[in-house]
Order: sequence, then structure tokens, then C-alpha cells
Amino acid sequence: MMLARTLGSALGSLRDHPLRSFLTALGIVVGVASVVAVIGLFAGLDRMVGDQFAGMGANVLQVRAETSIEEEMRGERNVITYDDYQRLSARLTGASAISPVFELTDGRQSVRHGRSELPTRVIAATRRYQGSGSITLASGRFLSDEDSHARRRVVVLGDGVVERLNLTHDAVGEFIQINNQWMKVIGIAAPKGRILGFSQDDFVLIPFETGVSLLAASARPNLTISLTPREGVENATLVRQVNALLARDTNGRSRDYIKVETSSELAGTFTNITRIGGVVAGCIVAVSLLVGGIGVMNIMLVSVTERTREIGIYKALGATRKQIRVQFLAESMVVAGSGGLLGVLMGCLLCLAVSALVPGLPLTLPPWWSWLLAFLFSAAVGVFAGYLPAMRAASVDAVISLRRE
Amino acid sequence: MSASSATCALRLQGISKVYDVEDVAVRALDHVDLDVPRNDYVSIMGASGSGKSTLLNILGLLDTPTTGRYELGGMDVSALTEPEAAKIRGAQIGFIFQSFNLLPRMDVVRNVMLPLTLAGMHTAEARERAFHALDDVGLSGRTAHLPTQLSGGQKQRVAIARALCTQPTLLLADEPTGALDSRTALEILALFEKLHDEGQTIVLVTHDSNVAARCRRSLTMSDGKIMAGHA
Repeated sequence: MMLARTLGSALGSLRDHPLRSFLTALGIVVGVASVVAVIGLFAGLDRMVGDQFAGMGANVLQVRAETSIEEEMRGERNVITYDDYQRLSARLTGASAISPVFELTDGRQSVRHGRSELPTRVIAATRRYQGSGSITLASGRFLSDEDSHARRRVVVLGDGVVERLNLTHDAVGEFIQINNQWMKVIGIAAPKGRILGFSQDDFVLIPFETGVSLLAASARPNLTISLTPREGVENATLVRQVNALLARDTNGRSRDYIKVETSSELAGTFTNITRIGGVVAGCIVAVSLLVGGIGVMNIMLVSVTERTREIGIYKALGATRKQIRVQFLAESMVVAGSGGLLGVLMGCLLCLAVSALVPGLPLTLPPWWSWLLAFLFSAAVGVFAGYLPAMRAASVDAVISLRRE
Repeated sequence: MSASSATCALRLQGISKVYDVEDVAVRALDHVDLDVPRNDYVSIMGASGSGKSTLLNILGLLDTPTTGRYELGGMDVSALTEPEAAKIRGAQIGFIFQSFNLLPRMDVVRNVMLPLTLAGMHTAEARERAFHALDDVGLSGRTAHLPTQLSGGQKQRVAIARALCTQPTLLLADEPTGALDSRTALEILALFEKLHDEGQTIVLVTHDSNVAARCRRSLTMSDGKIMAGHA
């Protein structure tokens, strides 16, 4: 009853100065909208990454070599070699499919068609890479085992390469050059979009053994090997088998840099990155809410000065200091709270608009907890911003204020 | 003049008020003794700085005396806490100001309801009592108007209705006709006389000897003391 009356009275006071109240709340609106939109966009990114990794299949293990920053600074580079792949192929019993992949060199290869030339990733892979890489074909066919065994000069192009080489989507049968080697286009992949801003369509696939044949004798390509466990074989068992086979190099040195990860673990790593990014960005943007709060405090202090006589009248009619204090706090909270509500609405619209404009990002609403968090935070800003003005209003001397003209 | 506490609306005994102005003690009231019986209608006159406004503020519990005892309706109210003083002020004292002091954003009925709602009365009941008070001062047809839409006399009638709606023990009026033309001032004074006839205790501060002459008795203040009075 008293709460409703106080809030009603606070709303009435704010209605008397609609433009001023709106401008006061605007700082909160912008702050809350930014927080909600940023959290929403990171949630969308999180979902997109999750969807991309889900396409790889949760039950695929990836074997790769990690090189630490310190090792890189020493000029060292850890690799999984072609010999490792052959050892796994010959002796790994727990995997039903072994699919090695490597990039032709660590740098980008020059790919040419007619007068168009561009640097891109050239990946040597087997037919199984279609599943593990979630590649859908827009036209033509994928690499086959025969292509690899026969070391055929054939390629599957990523959608991004097709456009940039001025090829059409019915370019199957055309020829391109990779480092001056002619290759026939046998397939074109459907577009996959971007992850964390990186294009997923900028690649050329060649058969694995063709890639090996193109390597210089001294080259040490770094392979990533995808493994699919045999039915009934636990992931952990397969990991143990891989570690046992690759634990030491030919000189007997430990190879603790070899990592075996499931695709869901990889997805988890990326999800953590996007979540931490979301929280950090949210905290930075929250500073703007504090700035909005300072704006509210400033206007409330002006309001106390303007309404000194009104406060005196209230006191003469029986209002206590506490009632005056609560009244001004309520006004501050109503400004900040309504700014918060409007901000949540604006943040949701902003998030929807941005996710609709950015290709590949799913249409996402910010999560419900971000609405609640932003609203509660704005109400807290209202209390913080209203406290000092409310205390000042409550301490107004009725005798002096009634004497003011 | 002397009366028992039971028959007194208010009683002041040795009330002094001393202000510190830049380290100089200024004595605004100097041992004031005053009895105002119930249903009295008394004016307080005096030059500027004589202490009449300070006296009115102490009578209205807006200010506290430095020394002395103040009884309102038989209760010692000289040293109340702030919430206690506010509660008694809202319930037992009605203020009428020279400049009306209506809240411009509230319509007439909400202005009159204000002391009742501040006291925690239910809105519907407060509204009914406000309508009744406005009817008593002849403004039942202007309840939805804003103060800016009223004449000076009508504003002062709203202020009187606001002061009366709590059925106060004491009505305090500070220059109630000071901002009105002479015809309207006479109407307001007639209303005060009607209230007095109905039993209301009224203390009125004025510069105008014509206004003072219409009260039941008149007191004059000088240098913080009550100098003279007549019944």
C-alpha cells in the first residue's frame, strides 16, 4: 500500500518533467542496452561455435602436436609426422577410421586460375575428411581413396576460393594451378560461413598421398589425425593406445606435446573463450551504466535544490525525514529502473538486429539472466545515485525552505 | 492570562530561542509566556524581527525552543524527536501560509489529501475527507483543478481546507490575507470567524491592524517578548 503510493508519487514527480526524466534515464538505457546486447551477441557466437563443432561429430578424436610459445621462440616446432601416421595405421586396433590431414606448408600456397591468383590453405586429406570437416558439396564429388592411392592431381575447392578465383559454381572440370602444378577441380564445397571472424571457406583440398608426393624431400609436414573409435571402444582406451604408440620418438625422447582431444573438448575450449569474452565485454560495458548513474545523481541533486520549498511544505504537513528520503530514493529508482527496462528492450532489439546483419550468426535473444542482471544492476545504480540526494532532501530545514521564494 | 492545562490549546512557559549567527548569539525569543485557551482566536502583531515568525515556527513544531516548556493540548512537546514532532504536526496542527504553498503539480483534492496520506490514511478515506473539507470552504466544484487555475482567494481556501482536513487542535496562519486583495481578504477573514464560531482554535500572525482587530484578542511582540495584549 505504502510502496504503491510512494511509487505512484515518484512516477507523478517524474511525469512533471518528462523530457528531463527521459534524458536522465537515457544514460541508463544506453548502458543496459549495451550490456544486454553484448551478452546476447556472445551467447549467439557461443551457439554458432557449438553448432559448428557439433557438425564434426562428438565421437571423433583429433591427434595433434602442440608447440609452446617458448619452443616457437627457440625456433623449435613439434610435429606429427607421416611415419607417425603409418605407425597408427599399422598398429592402432581401437580405431575404425584413421584420417590424416596436413597443410601443404605452414604458409599459404599460391593458387592460380587464369589471371586470378590468391594465397590460400591447401589441405591434403583423405575421403574421411568430408565427415570430420563437416563438408557438404555444392557440386561435383569429394576426394576418394582411389584419388589418394593413385596420387591424382584433383582438388575440391572451398566456396570462398571459387569466388576469389573468378570461377563459377559449375567449375567442376576446370583446371587450376597450385605452385605451378595443374590440378583438376572435381568438387566445390558448400559455404560454411565464419567462426570468430575467420572464414571457413578459404581452402583447397587435395588427396592425402598427392599432398605427400608434392612435398619436398626435406619437408616435415605437421599432420593432424582424426580417429573414429571402433564400436565398443571407449574414447579413453583409444587415447591410451595413441599415447602408447606415439609416446616416444625414434630417439626415445618423450613426446608429451602430442594431444588427443575429442571434438566436444575442442568445442568446450572455444565455448570457454567466447564465454570469458562475453563476461569481460559485459564488465567493460557496465562501466557506462555507472556513468549513467552519475547522471541520475546529478539531476536528482538539482531536483532537490529546485524542490526545497516543496520539501518544506511536505514537512509542514507532517512528513518525516524518512518519508522524504524514501520519496527521493523511489524517484531515483523509478528513473533508473524504467531506464533499465527500456534498456533491456533496446538491447534485445540491438542484439537481434546485429545477429541478423552478421552472416553465420544465429538469430539470438540475450539470455533471460542478462535481462534480470541488467535490470537489477540498474535498480542498484538508482539506489546508489539517489542516496546522496535523498539524504540531502531529508535534511532540508523546513523553516528556511518555507521562507524561500 | 492564565488557564489550566486541560482548557488550554497551548501553553508556553519561559520559551527562549537563541540563534548563533556568525558566532554572535541572537535572541529571537526572550522568555515568552503564553496561554491560548481552546476556541481562542488570537492575532500576533509586531514589526519585522520582533520574533513573531520564530514564535509561529515553535508553535508549529517546525523549530524547537532553546529553553522553556511548550504544551500542546496538555502534552509537553518541547523536546520531541523529529519523527514524533512530524507526527504531532501532521495530526494536531494546521498551517496556512501567506503564499498558500500549494503543490502546483497536484490538483486541488490531492493537495488537500496530502497531510492525510502522509499520515498513512487509506486513499479512499482521505479523498472523502478532502471533499468534505473543500465543501466546507465552498470549493466543492473545483476539486479537479490545478492551483494555477484558481484565483488567490480560492487558493487560500484550498490551503484552509488542507489545514482543516486533519481536524487539528490548532490552526496557525502566517499573514493569511497578505497576498490577497481587500475584498478577498474579507471573505477569508469571514471564513476564519466561521471556523472560530465552530470551535476552532486559531493563532494568526499579521502586520495588518485591521485583521488583528477582527480577532478575539490581539498580542504585540517586540524584541522577542510579548509586550501587550487585549481581550
